[in-house]
Amino acid sequence: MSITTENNEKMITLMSSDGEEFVVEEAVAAQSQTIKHLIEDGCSTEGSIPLPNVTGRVLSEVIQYCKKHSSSDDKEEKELEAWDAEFVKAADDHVALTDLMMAANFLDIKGLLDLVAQTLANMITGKSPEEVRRMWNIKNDFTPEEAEKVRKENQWAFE
Amino acid sequence: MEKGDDLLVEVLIRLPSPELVVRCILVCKRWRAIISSSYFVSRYISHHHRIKNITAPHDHDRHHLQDNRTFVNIIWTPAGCHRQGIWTPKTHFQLDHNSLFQRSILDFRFIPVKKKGCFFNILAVFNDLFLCAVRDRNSKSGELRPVVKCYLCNPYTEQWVALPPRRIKQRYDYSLRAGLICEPYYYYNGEGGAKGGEEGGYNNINVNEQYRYRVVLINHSNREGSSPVADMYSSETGKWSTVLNSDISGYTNNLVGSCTSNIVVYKGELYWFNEKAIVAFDPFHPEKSRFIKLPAECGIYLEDRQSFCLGLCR
Repeated sequence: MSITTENNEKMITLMSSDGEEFVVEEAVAAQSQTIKHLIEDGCSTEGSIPLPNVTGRVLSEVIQYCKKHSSSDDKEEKELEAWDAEFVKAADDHVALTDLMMAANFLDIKGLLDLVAQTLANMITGKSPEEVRRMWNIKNDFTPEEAEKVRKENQWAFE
Repeated sequence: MEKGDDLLVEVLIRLPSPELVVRCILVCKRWRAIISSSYFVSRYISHHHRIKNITAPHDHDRHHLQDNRTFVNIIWTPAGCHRQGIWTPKTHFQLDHNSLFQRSILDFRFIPVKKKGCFFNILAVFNDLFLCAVRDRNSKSGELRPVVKCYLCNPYTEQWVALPPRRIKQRYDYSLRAGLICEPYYYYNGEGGAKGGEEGGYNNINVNEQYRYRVVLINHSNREGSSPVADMYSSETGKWSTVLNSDISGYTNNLVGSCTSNIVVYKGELYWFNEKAIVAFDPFHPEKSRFIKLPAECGIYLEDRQSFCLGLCR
């Protein structure tokens, strides 16, 4: 469904996995390489673009990011950095960030993927393996002997 | 790779230091498998090169150049030597990083040397690898046995490999000279290694999984004809072989002899002085090795054979 706004900007409708529709400017949506290719292939003329891997909650965040990044130019880099920092802070926890990262990966938005992955990496930094497991709900599948062996083999990193 | 592994790679390559990555190996087996993969290692190196804005060297040789820059001075503290000539892995080796003047003590006790009174020495260093030599003594005469056991080790990670023992002629350890050359840990795409996908400039690093290396022992002092000039250990065969004078191009009868200088590593070649000429030895391509004749005006110095020291200028 192509709608044209007053200032002649072409609009695109995106549909999340839970049926929520978002009408955005084409330039905003095209920050996603995946969507850009879909538009180029003519998939958007017939109606809204379905995004089966992204929920409405996550998609609204993604669109928020894309809007900000399509309207800013290079001069505002500092301001944009601060905005990014606030943006990932608002995502609150690693579960929301992981969802956001999966969406960024699927939609192929490099800047967002970079931002979220770095935020998650910063969250791991300074955490013990046990704390990392708790954070991601990972089961420790090493026996105590195996863990000791791994630790011994990589002693230099644990000092 | 499992579903979601690629996202985990994206996160873990962004950890600021290799120590933090290695600590994550302990999280679970899946994480260990991901971090241990060469794909992850190449992505990690690539990512950190990119953010540091390090420009890719243009040619393969630059790696060897870089390798050369990391040389260190090694000083052993007298406290570890009770009698002259008895160094053991217990001797504390002090590492003096040239550029930073940072000192640290290296402990080689992880090398499994059982016999007391053995002779331990560091023969060569390449990047983070040390080539150590261990020689046993004859229990009756106290003389060093004519066999050297070489260990290639990293004193920081305390990992080591033992090379097969090699019979040598030198009675004294100080006359034993050796060189160590390793291939680069990784190549930039388009030089040396196989070409990989660009993926938006992500994958410009190929990890060199083979990581071949050569140890060269200058072990012979024969001066006749096609006599041996060195022993060479190859990481692929796991065996020692003998390099003959006649293997090196430019060989003439009067260009033979042993090593009477230090050994310099430069651009993938070992250089040493053999009484008459400089030997430029390429351990990965021995057929490319050659003798470099000294200019005639150097002849006056050649009589004092012990005093040669090769160096590198840039």
